[in-house]
Amino acid sequence: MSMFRTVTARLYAPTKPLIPRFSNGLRKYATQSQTDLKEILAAMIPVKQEEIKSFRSQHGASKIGDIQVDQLYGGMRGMKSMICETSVLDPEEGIRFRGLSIPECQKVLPTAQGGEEPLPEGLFWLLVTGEVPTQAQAEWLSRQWADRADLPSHVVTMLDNFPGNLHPMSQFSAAISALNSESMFAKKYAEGVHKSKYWEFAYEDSMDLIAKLPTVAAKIYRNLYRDGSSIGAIDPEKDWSANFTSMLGYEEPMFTELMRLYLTIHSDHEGGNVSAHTCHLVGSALSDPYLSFAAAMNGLAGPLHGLANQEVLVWLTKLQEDLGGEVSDEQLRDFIWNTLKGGQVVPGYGHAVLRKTDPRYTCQREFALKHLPDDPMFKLVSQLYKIVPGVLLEQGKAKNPWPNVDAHSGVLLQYYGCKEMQYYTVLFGVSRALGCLASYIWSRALGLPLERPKSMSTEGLKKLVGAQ
Amino acid sequence: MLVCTGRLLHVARVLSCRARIKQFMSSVSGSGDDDLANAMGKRDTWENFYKTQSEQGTKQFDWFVGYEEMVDLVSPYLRKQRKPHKAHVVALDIGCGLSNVALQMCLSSNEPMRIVCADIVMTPLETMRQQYQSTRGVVRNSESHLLFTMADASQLPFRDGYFDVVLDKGTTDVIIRSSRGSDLAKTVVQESLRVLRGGGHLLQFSDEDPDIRLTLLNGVTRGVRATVTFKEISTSHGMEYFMYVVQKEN
Repeated sequence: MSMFRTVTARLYAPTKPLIPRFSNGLRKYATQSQTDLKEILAAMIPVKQEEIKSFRSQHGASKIGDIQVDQLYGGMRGMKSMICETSVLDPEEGIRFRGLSIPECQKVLPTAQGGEEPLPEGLFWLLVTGEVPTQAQAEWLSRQWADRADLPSHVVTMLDNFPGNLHPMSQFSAAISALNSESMFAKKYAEGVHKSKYWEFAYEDSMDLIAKLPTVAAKIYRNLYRDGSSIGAIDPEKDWSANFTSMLGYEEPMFTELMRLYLTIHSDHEGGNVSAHTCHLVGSALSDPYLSFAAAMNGLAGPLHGLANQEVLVWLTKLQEDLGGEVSDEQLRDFIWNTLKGGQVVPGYGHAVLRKTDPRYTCQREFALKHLPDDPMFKLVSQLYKIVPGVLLEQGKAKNPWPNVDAHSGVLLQYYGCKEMQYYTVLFGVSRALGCLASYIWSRALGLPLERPKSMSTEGLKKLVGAQ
Repeated sequence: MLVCTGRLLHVARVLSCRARIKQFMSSVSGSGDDDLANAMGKRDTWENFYKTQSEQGTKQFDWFVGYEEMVDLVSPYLRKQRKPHKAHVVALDIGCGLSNVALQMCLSSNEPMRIVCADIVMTPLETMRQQYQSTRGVVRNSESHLLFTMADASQLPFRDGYFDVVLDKGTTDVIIRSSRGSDLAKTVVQESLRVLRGGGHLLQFSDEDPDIRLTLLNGVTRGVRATVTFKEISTSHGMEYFMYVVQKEN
């Protein structure tokens, strides 16, 4: 399995050294014929525990960095402070899920029958095990999730009683918290189960929660935007994304393909971002996965974290209105020039982390080129992609002038009729569960303790550095 | 009549602005090998860039931030560097281009400063030299001066420990994108550290995110006696920039 992946990775990235993946020692445990994720995990966990134990015994006291006063006031930016096994940001290639970049994932992860985009089930398998799943393993997850997707009636009642002006993210987070009536983790903890078994119930809750999220999200959508119409029944034959789009009320198969792609690429982005970190932090107190993930969603609802794709679409819509239809490259260039010169930003541009266009943007662009090349909003986004980096360079404002992932997602969604921009963050949240919960399972498996960093007062800091 | 003329002038201005933008855009994002967006790491790209600037009569071009935004950030590092037996604070600006930061620093410094402006292409150096010569009279400390030289940041023509401060504004950003990318960027940092005296500072100004730049800088300074820190620089126009500080140990 790993050999296949190693060979494949070499085929597609021949000049780049392979980033070592932890699964190197685990090849013999994950067999292609096994589909039970829990059993596979049960075999992997002791091996990983041993690896970490050995590493810490040799290097536990090794220093890995310095801390400056500014970093305490600066949101701990750049401070190495936590463990996240599921994804690492590669400065050249973008996010790597267990070592695989997004283009690599698109090539090796299973797709739906007859589809081209990767199944998020496959990505979850990869995040949890470090192994690329077989088609059978991904489909096993689809069936598991279809099985576990129904909601307890009190959550349905709760959702149906929310007022129409309660933000979808608030509804989402509240429902997730309320779902913890189903938490096996909480129940078993209260019964005094041994901590070596925590991961098993973390696993069950995570699988349940991931399965239920589309149901919750679809209910919110229907209640807010489709007159409370019924989400219908879960189809045990459909994959996770297909059931989701059906429940949302979309028939178009390409929208389902888009959803598969979307839910895959937004799933994880290292451990320090607000949602991932929150889920980890709250989980470290042994709050069950539902409570931990609900907390993460509260973080995602913050304007600085999850609202960017909404902001981009709002700006694009206004731009379309201001321009009054299709404009020439020259006219758009002038408009952008003046916008940037005037001290405003172009949402989606200018906070690029990578030295080239984020692959999460590129794969969305490729989807659009394939399926909606003539959509007016996509054409505008395409034009912006052609023009904005050049203007940012020309004005000396950036040497990393590339767009980020949020510059594109709204455009694809609105094409298929999903124009409710306030709702986009909920979709992001559904995707992010894959990364957050994969990490949650492993945090319990590895017995990671309560997270409790040391805080300092300004007074204390001054004393520490000998300031007046 | 006046309205008509006004309109004509406006149109003329817009047209000439558009023409300039068009000319620049074709050099910035054209489909050739030498366009800025895709070939930033190539020397030819910069030869063309500065040729265009020169033809347009551009006398100054600063990447990311200019003197106003930088002066307060940089001056602590200049003040600290004064050694009793040395008359000047000596600084190096690698990849200076058409930045007037060095010029402004030199003119406004109370203490005598010697700043070497270095770039791998000649054209901007000539423009800056002319500008410097025309401002000679207004320097605050008559012993301050600017020197201009062509230099390759990965092979600096200076002896060890010569400088108090090395400024790198947008230069490593370019070097990272050359064909030897990170390796060359590491060499540039190592060279900067070599020509710095013990306790001296390399200041890199960039739009590159700390997660990425710190990985590079920590990689270079591993095994070398240097510490890496950074500061966020916010600007009025919402872009995020950073000053990365690498201090060579004494």
